[in-house]
Amino acid sequence: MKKPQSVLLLVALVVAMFTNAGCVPEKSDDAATGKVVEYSSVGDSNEWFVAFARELETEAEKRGYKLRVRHAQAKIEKQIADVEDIVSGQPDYLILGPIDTKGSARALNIAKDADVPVIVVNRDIVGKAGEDFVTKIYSDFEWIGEKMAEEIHGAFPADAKQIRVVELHGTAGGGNTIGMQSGFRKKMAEYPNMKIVASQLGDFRTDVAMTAMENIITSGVEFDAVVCHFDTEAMGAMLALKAAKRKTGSDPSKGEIIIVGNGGTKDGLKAVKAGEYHKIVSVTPYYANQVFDAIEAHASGKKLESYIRVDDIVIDKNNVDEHMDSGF
Amino acid sequence: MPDSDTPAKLLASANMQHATGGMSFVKAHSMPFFFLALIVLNSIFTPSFLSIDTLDNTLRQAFPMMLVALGMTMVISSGGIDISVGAIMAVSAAVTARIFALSVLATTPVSVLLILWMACAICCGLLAAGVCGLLNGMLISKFKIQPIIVTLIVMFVARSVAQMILGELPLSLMGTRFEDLGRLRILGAPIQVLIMIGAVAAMLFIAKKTVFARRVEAIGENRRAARLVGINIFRVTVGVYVLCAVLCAIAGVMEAARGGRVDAGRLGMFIELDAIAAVAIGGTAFSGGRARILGTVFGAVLVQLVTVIVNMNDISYHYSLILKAVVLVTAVWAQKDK
Repeated sequence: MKKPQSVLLLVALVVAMFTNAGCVPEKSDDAATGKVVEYSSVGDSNEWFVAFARELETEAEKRGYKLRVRHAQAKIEKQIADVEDIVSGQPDYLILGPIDTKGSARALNIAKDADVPVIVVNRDIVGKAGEDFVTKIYSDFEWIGEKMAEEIHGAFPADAKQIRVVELHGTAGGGNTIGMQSGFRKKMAEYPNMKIVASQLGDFRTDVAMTAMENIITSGVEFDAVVCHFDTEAMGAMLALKAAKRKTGSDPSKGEIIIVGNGGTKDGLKAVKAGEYHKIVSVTPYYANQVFDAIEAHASGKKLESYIRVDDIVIDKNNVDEHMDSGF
Repeated sequence: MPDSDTPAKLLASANMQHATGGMSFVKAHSMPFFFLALIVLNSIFTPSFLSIDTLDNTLRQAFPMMLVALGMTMVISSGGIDISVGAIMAVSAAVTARIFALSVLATTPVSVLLILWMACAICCGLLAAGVCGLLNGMLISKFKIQPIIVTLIVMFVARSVAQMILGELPLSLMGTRFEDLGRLRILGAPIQVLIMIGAVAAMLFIAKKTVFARRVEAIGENRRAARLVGINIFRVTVGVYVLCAVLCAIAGVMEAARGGRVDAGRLGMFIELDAIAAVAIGGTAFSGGRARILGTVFGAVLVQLVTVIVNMNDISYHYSLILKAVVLVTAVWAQKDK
């Protein structure tokens, strides 16, 4: 390769790097005044992560912390590299949103070696509280799974012969997917008339869930309810069912398919209000206060629980209006 | 590389292909046979497989990948590769959706004005994709940077631009007329299938009847020789990447319409891998040369068919990956040595 061209290539690469990392703010000079907290986000463009990061930023500002966010774009290698970068700056705390239960555990070691305390958020990770990280704070996905099973069961009359459920699950291997699946199955074991007739990847994406739903409908499998691991999947399922002229709603006696999902997005809440989406078991992104409470408690030398639970609620037609504003 | 092939060698290999008749008919047409076998097997094992709905699903779902793969076939035929396809889909969908959503027309009933506005938005999306293609082609031919590096850079840039256009959040198109576009059927045929037929016909025409395709092939076979016989490498390369980008744009816009939302970070993610697989199954050589359009069409349908089979038989995710690998390996093996 000739010289000018390699220079051009280099310039282009640098440009590419900057446009890619444009969201990382410059380190401010007055960092010494407040405590510095770094957040390594999954960095998915999913609404939930955006809402969580915003909430964290607001809370940090309120309490006088310097917060920097790095988006890993759902790539584990990027998250590891981000954390390597972060610990070299010696922040006071690292908030880690693990991409993968096992894969992101390496980030814990890196932080441990640099003596940066870690607060785990969003999902589970492999590691020991008090040793590898300070504490874990996120929704109880087992509980969400159980609740979803309960709400599906509750939508049918007590003497219903059978409740056949299609499950559109989230990204395989994710702590939230695993939690919701196991909670759902655990609760379902209590209901002898309920069974899963198909369990396919929805990947938290509308298009993937829609494709899966279309194919399941065509396969002729009979089902009465659909459980989705996120609102985006529920939207895909609803689009596919609508196209197949199947009604969705809350009344199985009218032949309506019961859709219960995990979420709380604006689109999801609108669909609940419209009566097309039976119930949402929330997965709230609004728990930045709990994260900073934990940081402050740890900083003042208090001993913390190994897991701090984030409380979620069930949203249906009756209370959807009061939660409309918290849609993300 | 075919650079070292002497005319005599090429002639000999061509003769060999023609000389083998009879039983090798199956071998020569192994791809359709493999395809047929898969369909026969599934009509036995998969419930309701032999139905018009399965065909409908498969074609509609294969649509974005098929369009991308058609473009990719020409790119690979020219000896290049384009991994920016998914990002180009995202940027064109983002531009189209953002412009479309600007107007209050978005949720009004269908009218001439609405259709004009939608067409205008889509044209802007196509234009944005065209710019990406132009950038790809220019960097590759003028500055002689490896296609994989150039398209990697364009991938980053286009994805970032798409995210900047939409802000951080995905843009919901639920309840707008744009969402209806994704479900539009004309005389019972989904719009995706109609566009697909048009695109395949156009690409077949380009690949078989135009001088452009000959030039693309010539560059893919032997770039130096192509230049020596007076082919304008710059123009042809830019043409190939712009063509590919425009096909990606159509795929991106229709995907946005299908799902009723544009997630700039996710739309079209990893589609380059499926598209490249489709081209490989189709038999277009990665060292450049003849573009096998129909092969790619088969390849794209086959790749999507795996997902359809997985969904219809309720095969769990982990096994589905193995099934995909087995089908792809068999398919690639079936069409080799041709």
